[in-house]
Amino acid sequence: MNILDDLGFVFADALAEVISKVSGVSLKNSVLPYHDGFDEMIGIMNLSGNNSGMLLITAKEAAMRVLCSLMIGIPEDEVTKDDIFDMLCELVNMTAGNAKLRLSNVSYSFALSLPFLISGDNMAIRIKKNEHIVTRVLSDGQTSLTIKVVHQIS
Amino acid sequence: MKLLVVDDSSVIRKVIRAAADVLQLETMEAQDGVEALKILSAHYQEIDLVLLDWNMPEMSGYDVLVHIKSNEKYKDIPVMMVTTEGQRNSIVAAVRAGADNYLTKPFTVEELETKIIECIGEGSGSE
Repeated sequence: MNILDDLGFVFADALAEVISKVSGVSLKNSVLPYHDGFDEMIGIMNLSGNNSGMLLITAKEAAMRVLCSLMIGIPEDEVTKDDIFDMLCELVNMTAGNAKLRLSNVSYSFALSLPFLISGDNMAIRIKKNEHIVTRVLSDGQTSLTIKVVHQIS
Repeated sequence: MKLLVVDDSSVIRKVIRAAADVLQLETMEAQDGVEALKILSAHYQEIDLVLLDWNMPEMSGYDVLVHIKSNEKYKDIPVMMVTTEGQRNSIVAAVRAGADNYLTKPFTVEELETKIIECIGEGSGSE
């Protein structure tokens, strides 16, 4: 198998499992197109070690508010912006850990780092020429998240 | 009984606090390893279980675990690692360092409650 082709699916499946477990929401791979500038926040983790790269999860605040409410078990209007930012970072953290476990049987290893978040309007992700990027959109028709995996080509 | 919850994620701390409330357990919280050791130093006689994240700023959960298990005053306090590091080598390293239990994130509230009960025993909550 070409691991680079499958990398997006592995990370997307990892994110779907994480979301399902913490919130009960079942997100599926979607044919929805991804547009730079569409989402309002990006959770990011640098992946280092044998396979270096980056994991990014982008979302709209409204989608994160729904998931956060379900995860903490409080009404949506009681979810704070700090809760939302913190949860997106934690989703990145858990998704990276879950994907690391899934990829361990194909000897694709990397080390986790501390996740961080950026937010703003019209954000675009650009990569260098020696990097490979895969994008997957997950949605249940109402809530959608986009996951991007950047792999540095040696 | 009282839990010390050590995690840099405030959302995870809230989830654990909610589960502890259901089990009628009190919680203290630290957002990194340094803060956890300060709380332990002042309150170790009150703490019945430490729930410890691995991947944190300032001081990793693994380093906190090693510190707890090498300190005469704290070494008998049970420690459960609650972490995204689910690979076998990480679990083995934590157990060798003295971890009493291990829960991989993501977890359901039911899984968390079961693990806490495994560590402290059924019916250990406040009356």
